[in-house]
Amino acid sequence: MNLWKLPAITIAPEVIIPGTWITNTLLCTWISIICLLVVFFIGTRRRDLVPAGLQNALEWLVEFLQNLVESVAGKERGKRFLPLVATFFIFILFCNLLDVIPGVDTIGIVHLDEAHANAVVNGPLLWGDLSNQIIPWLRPGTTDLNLTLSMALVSVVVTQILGFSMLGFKDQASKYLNFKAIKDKGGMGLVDFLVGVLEIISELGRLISFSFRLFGNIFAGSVLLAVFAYLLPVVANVIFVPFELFVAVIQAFVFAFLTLLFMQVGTTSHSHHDEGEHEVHHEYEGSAVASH
Amino acid sequence: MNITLTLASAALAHAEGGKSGLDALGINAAAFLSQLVTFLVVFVLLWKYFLPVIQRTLEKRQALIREGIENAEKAKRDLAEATSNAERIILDAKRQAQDTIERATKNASQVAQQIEVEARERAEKIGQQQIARIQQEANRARMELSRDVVNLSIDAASKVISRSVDSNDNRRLVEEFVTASDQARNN
Repeated sequence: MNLWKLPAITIAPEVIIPGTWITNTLLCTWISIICLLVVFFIGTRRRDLVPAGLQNALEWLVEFLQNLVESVAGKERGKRFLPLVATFFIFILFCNLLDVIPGVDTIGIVHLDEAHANAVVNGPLLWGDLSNQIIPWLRPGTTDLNLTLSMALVSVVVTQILGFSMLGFKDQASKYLNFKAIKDKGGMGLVDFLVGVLEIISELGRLISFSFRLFGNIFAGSVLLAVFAYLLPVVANVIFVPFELFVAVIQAFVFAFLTLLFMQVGTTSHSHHDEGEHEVHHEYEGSAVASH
Repeated sequence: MNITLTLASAALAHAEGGKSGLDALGINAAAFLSQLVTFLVVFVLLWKYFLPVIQRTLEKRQALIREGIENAEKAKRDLAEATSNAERIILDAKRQAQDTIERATKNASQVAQQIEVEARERAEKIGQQQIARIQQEANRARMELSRDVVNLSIDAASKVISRSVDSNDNRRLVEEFVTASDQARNN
């Protein structure tokens, strides 16, 4: 008999209150939100002109995000993009960070499978063959595809809404269904039309890439911690917990930054883009002539 | 070991007629909507309350810092202007003091010359007055001496001739003699 077994690892979140739809990832998401709200409440309660402690950290974070968004999208657009980008970064960061909290993924209810149906559970710790019969009460929210997919959906939908509101219906729709190109250019316009269709596919692909990238990285982190906790308890996690903290920050940043980039691209007109290319081309030609 | 974590296994489960692919991945409508609503709640809270609070604090501080910098720059400009004014005033004062000194020196020189001229004139005048008085004294002494000589001569002559020569004629004769003697001596 093994002293302990590798914990059962499943992709799907487990329902922890039978008869309801409350899963361990949803519960963990709510805890993340409570932590986030408590941190922001304490951090914004005092608004000292000389900030310190949590207020200082939150102000630094918001200022960093604001500068990032404005450096990419400019001041005016930045004001519209910031709330969603900042929410993505902060919320995902809080969800990811719960992954390294002791008890998450390891404390839960015992659900004996058929092979161990008659086993008797003694004490709070599971040993031996029963050690992988646990369903954790808490699993990080970002290890649930439902959450990552819903955030990806929000990202794509808001990008489209901003595109339609800032560029106008005609300009935005022509990105995907470019009938004008067929009318103006004939056969060559068909290529532009097909590019538009590819844009629709890429938007759908974006949903998948957004959701699976975040899910995959954080879920893999959870598995990594679980496997190394099994192989080399305590010692291995001294190395991998800081690594997971790093991954948590990076993945939150990647999701938020990609959303920002897609918003910026999605709210830039095609005609603008073409004019920009022409300008660059002319500048290049001008410099080439000057160098000759 | 009980590890079911690959997407391939989800697809396999679907192919084998077990749980559907989405079920294997844990995706279902209730969980999806719960997570979506949860995220939207956070989004609205951050968007409408927490971020504006922090942004307002940042803007307030930025405005305060900007105002402080502007005030410091204004104070610097004022200081430079005041320094320039002070230097100009000092230069003016120095120039005025120099002018005053030069004017005073010139006046003093003129007054000194005037005093010298006046002193010289006065000294000359006093000298001439003294010379005139001395001449008067000399004349008076000479007259007295002449008179004494006449008296002595008469006394001497009267003793010689044993008679009085105190007559007016004799006296006139002696005086004429003495005068002639004086003139002869003076010439």
